[in-house]
Amino acid sequence: MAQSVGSAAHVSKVTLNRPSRQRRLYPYVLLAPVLLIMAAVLLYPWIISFLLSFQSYTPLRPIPARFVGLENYVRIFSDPAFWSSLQNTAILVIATVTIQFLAGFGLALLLNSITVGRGFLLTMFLLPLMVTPSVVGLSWKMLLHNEWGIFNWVLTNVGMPRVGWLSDPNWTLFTIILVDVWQHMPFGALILLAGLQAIPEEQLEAARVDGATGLQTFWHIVLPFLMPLILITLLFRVIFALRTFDIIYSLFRSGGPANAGMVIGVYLYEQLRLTWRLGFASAISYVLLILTMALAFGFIVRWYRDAFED
Amino acid sequence: MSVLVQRRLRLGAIYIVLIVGALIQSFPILWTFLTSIKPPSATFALPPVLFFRPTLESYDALLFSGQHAMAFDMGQLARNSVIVAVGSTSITIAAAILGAYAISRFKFTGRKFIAFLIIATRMLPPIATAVPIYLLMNDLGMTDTHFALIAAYTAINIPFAVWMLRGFMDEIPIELEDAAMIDGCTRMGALFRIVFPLMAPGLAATAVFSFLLSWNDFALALILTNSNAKTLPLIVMSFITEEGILWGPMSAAATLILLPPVLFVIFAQRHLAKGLTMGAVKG
Repeated sequence: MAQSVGSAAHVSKVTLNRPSRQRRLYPYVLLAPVLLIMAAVLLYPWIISFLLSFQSYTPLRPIPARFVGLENYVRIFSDPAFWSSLQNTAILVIATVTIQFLAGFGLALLLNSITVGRGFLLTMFLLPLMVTPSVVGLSWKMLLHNEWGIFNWVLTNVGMPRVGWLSDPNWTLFTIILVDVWQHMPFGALILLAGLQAIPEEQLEAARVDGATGLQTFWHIVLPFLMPLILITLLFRVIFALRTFDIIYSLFRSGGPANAGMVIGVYLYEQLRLTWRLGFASAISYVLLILTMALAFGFIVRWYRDAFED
Repeated sequence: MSVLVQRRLRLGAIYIVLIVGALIQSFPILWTFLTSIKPPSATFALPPVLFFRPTLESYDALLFSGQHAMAFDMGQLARNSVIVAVGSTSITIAAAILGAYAISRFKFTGRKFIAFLIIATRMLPPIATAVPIYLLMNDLGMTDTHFALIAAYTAINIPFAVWMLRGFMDEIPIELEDAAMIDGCTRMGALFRIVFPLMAPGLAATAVFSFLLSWNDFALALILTNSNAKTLPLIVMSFITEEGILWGPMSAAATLILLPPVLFVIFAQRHLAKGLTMGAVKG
């Protein structure tokens, strides 16, 4: 039987004197707008695009779409550019998530050990987190400009050679990692700091009384307490690093010099922009989605269980 | 050395690391702002000019006097961005609040599945979602319209908005609504008169988040628009030529676009953790 969540008193006093059929339908009526919008603008298009991923379809040409089976997928997996973009994505995800997590954790620990001025310092660190990624690319372009950028100016002044941040393929991935770490490092710091502050003082006090060293306390109390938040931080960072596009595209307006910065998101957009083969682009969308789900699914299921423990 | 001195030194070291770090971390944004208020002669002078008379010349060039030299109309882009962000935020909040209420206050068949669906949609990468949505809008003949972007951002924002609002709603004791309903209030009446006012801060935070997700999006706007409905983040595509020369207006544009998110971080910091993780973190 459908019933409201809440105290028994609530059920008996309020809910029971209402018509039961109406009561049963109520939540669905409330959810209808949400579900309709998601079905129309997310589910339906993703289904269409799934079907299209098995077809050859270019809207610019007058030829109607035709079924080609797995050809689009075969073409993706036999394209060297796809494999190199997959490799770049892997490097980007592993490097950025690792650095962001470690630096963010360190920052959270430092911020947790001070009181005066913590709010102000945290705000300064957090500034990059919410700002428009494509415009972030624009700002960094000025800083990293070969001749007029402040980075190369500092380097030449300390007697080092200029770095082709934006023009040298050997530096492309490094540049992207630098900008991405700058923008997203505060994410882990913010979440882990919230976790650190939620650790019950009694537990830390008990450890101190028992003569535990700082490292022991960290290992046996702090780390286990933070574990769910660590997982969430990693989950979100991995999901978002996989879809990196804005920053790269605004820095390089393509996959960068010699496509050294081509990740899957950029590969998808370049294929779309250059060929408008929508069937092929749909297939790449699915590859990216499946990759995301493969990496995130375990996390999502676990989180979902936690969310409904009550 | 006494323990006290040691502790002081340690604390001092921590503060130095944090202050230097904070300066480095906020430097690119401060630098962009400083560049935008420098006189044109100093915009890319090296060594950098640190003391100068602040001027709004770059803003004037961006918005008024230099308009003809720019490949875009900043005013129109800003208008589009505001219309799309406000439109999608309004619809998102209106729909999400009802959905969140259903999930928070009722037990019904399929509740868990719907909740799972809502969390799982968060995994859809915008750049990959753009292709299917482009197909839909193309069929409807609606590409390059405000409608296309409003629909896309609403659909993408709704899952997180429902989840975040559900978190805020769970914190409001259900007994308050019961009391109101016993006193003769309808369920919707209780929602509007009791629940809404109590969760006003949470509602505002969710709305601002939804606004910023639309405001910041680049991938969907890039694919769904080509001239009429272009939004501000696409401006990066317009500084293709003569980038060195346009540094003034470029940094002015960047500053204007970054202003809403920066203000949000400064004023709503305590809701940030919750919003970024859809309430999975009690920030």
